[in-house]
Amino acid sequence: MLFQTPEFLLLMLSVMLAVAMIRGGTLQIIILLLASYLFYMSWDPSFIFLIIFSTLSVYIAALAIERSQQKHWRVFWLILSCTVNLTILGFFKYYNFFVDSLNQAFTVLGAGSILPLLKITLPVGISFYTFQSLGYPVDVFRGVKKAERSLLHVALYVAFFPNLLSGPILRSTEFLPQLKNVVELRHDNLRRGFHLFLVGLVKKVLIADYLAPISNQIFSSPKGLPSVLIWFGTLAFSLQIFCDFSGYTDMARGVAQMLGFNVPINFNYPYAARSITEFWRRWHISLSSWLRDYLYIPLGGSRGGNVKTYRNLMVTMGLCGLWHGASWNFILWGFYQGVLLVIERITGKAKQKTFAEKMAAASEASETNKGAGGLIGKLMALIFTQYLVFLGWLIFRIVKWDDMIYCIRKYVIFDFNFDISAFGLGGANPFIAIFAMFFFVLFHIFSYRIGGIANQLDRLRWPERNLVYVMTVFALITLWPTGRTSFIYFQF
Amino acid sequence: MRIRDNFKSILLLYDIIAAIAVALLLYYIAYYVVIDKFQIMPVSWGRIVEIKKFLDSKISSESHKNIFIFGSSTTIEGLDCNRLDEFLPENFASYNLAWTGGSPHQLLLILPAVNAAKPYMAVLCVDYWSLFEDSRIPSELLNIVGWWQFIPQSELEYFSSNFNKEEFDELKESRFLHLWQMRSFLPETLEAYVREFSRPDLRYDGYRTNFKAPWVRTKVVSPTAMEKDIEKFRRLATSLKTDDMQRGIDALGSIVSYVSQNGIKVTIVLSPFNPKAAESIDKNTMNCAIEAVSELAKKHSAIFINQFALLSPDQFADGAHAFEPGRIIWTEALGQAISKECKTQE
Repeated sequence: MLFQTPEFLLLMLSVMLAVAMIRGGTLQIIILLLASYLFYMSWDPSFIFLIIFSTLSVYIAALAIERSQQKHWRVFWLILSCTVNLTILGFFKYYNFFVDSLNQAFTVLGAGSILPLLKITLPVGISFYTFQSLGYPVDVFRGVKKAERSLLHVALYVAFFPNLLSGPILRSTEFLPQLKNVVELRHDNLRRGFHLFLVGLVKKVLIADYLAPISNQIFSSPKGLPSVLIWFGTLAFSLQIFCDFSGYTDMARGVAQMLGFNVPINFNYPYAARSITEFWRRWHISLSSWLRDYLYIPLGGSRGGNVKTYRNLMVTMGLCGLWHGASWNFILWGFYQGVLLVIERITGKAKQKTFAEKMAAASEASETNKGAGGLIGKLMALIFTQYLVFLGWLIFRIVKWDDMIYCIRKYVIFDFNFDISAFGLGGANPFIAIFAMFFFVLFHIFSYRIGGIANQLDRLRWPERNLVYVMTVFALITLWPTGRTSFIYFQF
Repeated sequence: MRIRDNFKSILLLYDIIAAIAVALLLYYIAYYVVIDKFQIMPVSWGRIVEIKKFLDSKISSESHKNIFIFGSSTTIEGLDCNRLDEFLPENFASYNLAWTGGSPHQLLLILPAVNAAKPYMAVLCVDYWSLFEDSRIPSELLNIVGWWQFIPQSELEYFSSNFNKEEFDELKESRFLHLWQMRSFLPETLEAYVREFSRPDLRYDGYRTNFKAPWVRTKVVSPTAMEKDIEKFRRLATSLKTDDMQRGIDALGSIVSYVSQNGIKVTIVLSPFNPKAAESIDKNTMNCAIEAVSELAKKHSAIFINQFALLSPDQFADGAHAFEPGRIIWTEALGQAISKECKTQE
């Protein structure tokens, strides 16, 4: 059940009406929990037991941690809950990957396959709700959150349907307190939620879904393609993944807002970042902050000298890559990001500036006109950063090694071959993709300048706002792709 | 009190519902005008609508001298009917009524119009891979067929066995839904027009309504693109299995049976295939396919012409479509073959 389907609209309307009619807060939580489970079961009913099991494990562990007087028992319960949840994640998501890699290694050594591959279906959203579950007992262990007495509240925290499948990853400290209040459907929340939903829908339907065919076409068989097409595909995928994922997040936040819940932002104009460090403060914020708080800092963060800091960065980013998928290209992508962050730390050490920021500063200094120089410097830093980010997306997107190497070579060493006809891209509507890219740039810059389109919509007066509604809905109806498209991050 | 406030908040969103209703109304009005009245749609779809109109216009007494040639883009680009007419007796005329993707399966959709036009002969140019086709007919085409009612309600059941349930359900949908599902036409039209203006050999100058020699490429694609395209067809050729042939052969059988019952002569042509791509075809599979088509032709007293290996690699503009010298050779070979039939009728 995707957000942009009639089935979801029906579920949402039913939930809203049910919540509106019920007085008691507990009953409302039950309705929301049932809706969340129903939503999850629409993908695969059998995996509902996994969520319930994960919920029970962290609920019991959190209570036990709080009640244990001695530290070693608190540590025991924490480790137990982490082990249980990571084992579930590890088995469903990584078992075949590791066994396959191990078998390949043994085959090379002449020992042949040693472990059998299993037919495992990956439960949708498992990476998201497992991380959400994992964070809660840690918060209780650290004493930043009291253990929740209500199992219903913990269950809804783990399975809250708007962000169950693709985040943002919620923090117990932010979400659980919101469940103490009775859910009220306030007009301002409903309208604001609708605006967020609409913006997300525009990103997904009018941009991401029009860029998907061209990037799929180019990267399904990239060998032989000239640099210009590899660049085109890379740009298309970079914008697609952002609009797809941030569009989903906007819709998730919108749905939650309509029901009166605040869900944190996940993206803050990442393609405006002028360093990789800044990029990670703006991209998938709920994951990067989760990894910072629950992995990087516990590993020692930047407290143990340079070498340990670099090690911690590499481990964190390597696991960040592995979190995205059971494939070597994701791990490589994670390490690539780690290396870039380490390089930025090294190069930025002298003046506490990142490499990209130094470039900006150097360019600024070289210009006599300070205003224009600053702008050029910032632009150079932005282009350089995004060049590296987009290169990273190539690693992220292409699974086959030889294709990946070919694409990276064509991306880095431009071949100036502009004969792009007859590569069979016609069916992927390349010119519509170009329109979608231009639309993205305008949409993004406009949104950046006005502080978010949804915010601006909140401020519009009645006639203008309704004109925008009619025009947007008309554009969505007219340009809605005929096939059903899913979200990229559902696979993670 | 709180419950009343909740409902009041929901009801205050009435303007959103109204905006959606207005947008929907605008969509239907706009699309009715754009699609039905002005027929603004991607040229490849527009060509099919024009073919239907052309067939309807041929319901006349002299139409029995017509030869209608059907097929896919390989036929559109591979046969020049002006040249082909030179081989035919004086009162015969041939028309290239092929369209992009025009497999036997798709051709079923236009058969009632073919029958009504009652040509002297229907030539079915079949690409080798289309005999194994099990892909779904594009939604756009089914919606065009539904909206312009290519198949009368009374005849729908006849074709039911040739379509899968999804296709058949889509064909039977109301016109209201057909118009709703044609919403991809506007962006795709924009795409098609921009793309055509960006190419050196403009394709669509009269392409929709040109039923004699719709288009031929003016240059061969670059060697890299050629290699990539050939590789694509090699992969396709390798994937073809005898077990997947049934649907294509059944569709072909239905076509031959349907039109020959109406006294229309049928010629089945196995279209030329780029020999470089053909290298990876399994010989047994190929023999099986040729035998099946040949038997089918025999059963319905149709003519079968195998022109699979007619052209050499340098006569193709890409992996599948004939280039000018190839087009002349194919046209002449087909002209000579069908002229014999026409002369016997004379």
